[in-house]
Amino acid sequence: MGGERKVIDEDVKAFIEESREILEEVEPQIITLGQLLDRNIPADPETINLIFRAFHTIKGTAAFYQFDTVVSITHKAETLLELFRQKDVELNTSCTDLLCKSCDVVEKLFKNIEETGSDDSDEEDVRTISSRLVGLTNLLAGRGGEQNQPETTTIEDDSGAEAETPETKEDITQKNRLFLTEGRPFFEEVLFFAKKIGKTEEEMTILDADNINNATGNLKILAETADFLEFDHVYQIIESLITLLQTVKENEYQIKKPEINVFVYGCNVIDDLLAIIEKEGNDRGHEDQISAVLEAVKNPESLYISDRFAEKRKKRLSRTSARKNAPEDSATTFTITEGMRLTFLNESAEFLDEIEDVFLSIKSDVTDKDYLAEAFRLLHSFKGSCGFMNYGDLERLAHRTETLVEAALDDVMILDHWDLKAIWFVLGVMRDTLGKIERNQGSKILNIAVLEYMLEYISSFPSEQEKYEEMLLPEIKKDRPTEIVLEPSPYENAGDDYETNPQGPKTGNAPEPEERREKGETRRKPDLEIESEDAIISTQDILSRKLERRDIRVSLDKLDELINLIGELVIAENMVIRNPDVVNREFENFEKASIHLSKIVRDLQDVALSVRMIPISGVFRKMIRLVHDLSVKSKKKVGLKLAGEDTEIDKTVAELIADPLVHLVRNAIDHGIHRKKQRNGSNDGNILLEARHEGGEVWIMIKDDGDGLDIQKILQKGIDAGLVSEENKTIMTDQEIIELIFQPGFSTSDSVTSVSGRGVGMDVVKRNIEKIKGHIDINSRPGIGTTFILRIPLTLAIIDGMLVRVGSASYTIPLLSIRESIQVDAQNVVETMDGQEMVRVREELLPVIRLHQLYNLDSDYQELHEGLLVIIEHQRETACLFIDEIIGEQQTVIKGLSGYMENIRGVSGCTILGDGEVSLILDVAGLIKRTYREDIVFHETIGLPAQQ
Amino acid sequence: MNDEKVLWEDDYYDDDDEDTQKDRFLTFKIGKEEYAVEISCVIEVIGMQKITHVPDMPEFVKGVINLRGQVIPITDIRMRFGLPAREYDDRTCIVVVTVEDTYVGIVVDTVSDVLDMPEETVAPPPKINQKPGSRYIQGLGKVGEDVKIILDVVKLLYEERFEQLPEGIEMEPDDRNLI
Repeated sequence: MGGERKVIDEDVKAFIEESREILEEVEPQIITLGQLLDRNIPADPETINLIFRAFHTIKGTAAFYQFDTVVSITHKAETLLELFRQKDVELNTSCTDLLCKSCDVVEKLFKNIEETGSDDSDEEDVRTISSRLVGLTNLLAGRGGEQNQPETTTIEDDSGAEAETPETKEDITQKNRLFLTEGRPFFEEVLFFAKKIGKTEEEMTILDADNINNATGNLKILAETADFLEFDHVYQIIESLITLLQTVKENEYQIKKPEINVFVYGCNVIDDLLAIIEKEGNDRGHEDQISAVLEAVKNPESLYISDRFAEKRKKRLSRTSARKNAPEDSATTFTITEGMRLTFLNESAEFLDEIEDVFLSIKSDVTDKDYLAEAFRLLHSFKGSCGFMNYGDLERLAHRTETLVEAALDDVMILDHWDLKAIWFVLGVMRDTLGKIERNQGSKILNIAVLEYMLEYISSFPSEQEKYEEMLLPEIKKDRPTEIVLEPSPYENAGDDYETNPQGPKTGNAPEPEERREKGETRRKPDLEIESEDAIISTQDILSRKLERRDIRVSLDKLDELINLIGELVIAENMVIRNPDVVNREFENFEKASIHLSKIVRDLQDVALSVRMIPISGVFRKMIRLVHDLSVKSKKKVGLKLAGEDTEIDKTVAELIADPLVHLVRNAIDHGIHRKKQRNGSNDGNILLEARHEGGEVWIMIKDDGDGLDIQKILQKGIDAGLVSEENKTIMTDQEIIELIFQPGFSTSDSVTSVSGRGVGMDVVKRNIEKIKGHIDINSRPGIGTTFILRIPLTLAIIDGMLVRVGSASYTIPLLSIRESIQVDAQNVVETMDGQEMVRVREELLPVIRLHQLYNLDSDYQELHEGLLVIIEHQRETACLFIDEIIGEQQTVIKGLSGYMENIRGVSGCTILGDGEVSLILDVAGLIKRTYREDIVFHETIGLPAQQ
Repeated sequence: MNDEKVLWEDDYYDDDDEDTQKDRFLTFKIGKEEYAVEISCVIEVIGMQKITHVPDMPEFVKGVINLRGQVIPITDIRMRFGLPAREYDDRTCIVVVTVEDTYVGIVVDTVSDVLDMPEETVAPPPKINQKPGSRYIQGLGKVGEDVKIILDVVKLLYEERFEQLPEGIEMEPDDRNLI
């Protein structure tokens, strides 16, 4: 059980991830929709469909995992969208806003799920959004009705308790249709559950908690809709069934036979009522049964069970096949992104693999309900995603197969090997179709009608073998327009005699498929194909149709472990190549081998790190929403352009730059861009977000065409806040003044708005960027705009380092921070009166940091011109490090210092050298800051006279 | 028969393992005194290695070493206790101990033994505060005629943190109790 639970947890994780992807895809769509509406461009029905499908998909899966809150919200959003789909009502911006908020809430619920494992939430916004969604739906539905037809009728209410509601007839039918199509899948699952428990003969059974929760969840959704549509009878019964399940839950999942009977009976009554609704548009009738159910819930023993159960089952089955799929509007093509398509293909291939596995197991034990149920579930999911992607043919096939499996589950029929063969065949067709989709050859399935017919035919026969064959043969012969030939695929044992023709099934052949399966032992099923006049598929095609998987899901932990190991490998490599036994000796072959090794290690490192890379588009996409919200809030019309979304960055980096980006974009809109007096239809301002690789760094640019930074204002604020002294203000460069905005608490805003002005934002930006060892450049020109460039190193774990020696100690300096290394002449050294040594390098005067003094070491040299100076740079501030010697350049794997050695001056971490020794990595930014900020403590500790 | 015996032995050792941890101590020498730490917090004993000096640390933190890819700080217990420094020799060892996943190496003159010291043989630490090191004493264990000073590893490791605070920052007495 424990293991199973874990699997479910992982499934849930996958579900959340996928749903997040869907949400991220769909949110910009909603916003675009809203923006188009702003310009009075009517909504594109395809976009609405797309959004609708997204919510639908999430709802479907969420229902499976019993995330009731998610289900209820997505369901409500869906209901709202359905109105627009029916085109009765015009979409307006308040709807798109509400939908955006729904996305937020769903996202929040996902977070809850991740943290607590359940989506129970008492939060205000969940409730608000629910009620707002329902409210808006009601409102629009009402209004839409009026517009369409003023004629009003009243719904007769049997209980008489409800007030009469004026509604149009058309409206009712539309809503009923909605209820029937939407509620069906949920009810179906409940029915399925009822059947399952209905079969127990024992007096007392303990049910699986998951199943009960699932059923309760489904019933709740139904109840909600029924209540909304005022199907009071249905609602009452469902409510009573929920109560029943609740009691069962309280009794630790023990259920007595009479209770089961009541539940099953109740479900059947609902089934009947739904049929009536379908026919007559209301849920009147069956009063006696309804009251029987209501009574029975209170007292389960009182229910008299007629033999209508069996009768029901038959009836339902026939209806299932009669219902078929609602007419496909398969012609609709909406924007399915390439990414979505690939995800779909990969997922579906996975589904098919699993389904095949399950059917393999079924083969060994046809009666095992667990396998059948699993197959049913998988097919259902597969059908769902096909539906979402609008591959109508695939969806239909999957649906048929599902029906067939369901029939087997219901004991209406027993799958024999012929049935299984047919299913295998269909699965093969599905796989081929996926291959076709992958190759962009469309999703049409040839002979779909035949396949459907075949499946339907099988499922409609309660089969004893003889009877089945007897009936199948002539029918198939007569009706089939094409021949179905089962052929071994070229990559299977070619000698295998496996050409079977359904027209001539002999009982003697019965064990053949099993045999084959065992012989082949591979998981692959025989590749099947349809031959007909209009479709002759070449061998080459068959070879290429095998669907290739292009990705797998790997846990981040494993990846990190891999990267850590590669880090160790880099160290080990250094240990070998710089081994004291071989250093300074000439081994030609060793040299060659070690160069080869280094190259491979470096490649390996690149590959491993690239695995952690994700495109920045996810982060950028969030900005679409942000810009939209902010421009609404600030009443400025802001355009957003994205560039270089495919640029890949480390996952950790992606997480850490999200916040800074939010702040920068916010600032741009709040401070940079102002409302224009004359708009002439153009935007008040534009923001460009761009990402690109530049050397060993990723550059992320946030560019606005606003007013630019007001240098004078910043300086004044800086003086007011005591950040700049009066004397300094004249000598500060513009760049220095601009840097002031990063000071915590600094804000040029005279008032704190809801968007910005507290002076926290830029501080956050700086901190986060520094956390990932990045830099920020600002270019600002008055009247033209401001550009922020975030320069972030590609990797975090391994850097290029320069190893330097001071006395007996060695330190590592990140290569990226080193500008150059020089030797100076004695006359270029100046000492200021406060003891700070300065060195003239070309036209610059740079402060010197004597490492041996800083760290209290004995160094070889005391005079600056004797040793070496390494010029280090951090955000345009430069200083010289005085060292004895440069040992060399090497790949440095950054390790943190032990927990309680934090905050060492000028040290950011450590690394392990080739000889196993530990070397400290210098924190260039910290060192420079200390020199420039005239830190009193710093001067004291290194023995320099403190400045006044 | 044989199987049964093996099974029994396994069980026996399992029980024994837990017992081993309890009341067992690793003893080592610093100067003339014998000290002891609970065996459950000892990871391993390694020979002396080259220590990388780390600046800004109190005197007794000698630096860091690389223990199979892991960087761990090393403290010299002599300086901690205010004893005179001593040249490291062949017998000098590093006892790697852990508290709450933090590894720290302790330099000792020489490792002597692993001993059982049941609770009843352990006396509480002396009240008189003579040496700077005495606050790290968890108790005094008697083994025959000898007395071993049992050290409180948690205090030994975690009090260091506060000693590296720059002077002038006074610790609240309350904070000190929290350690």
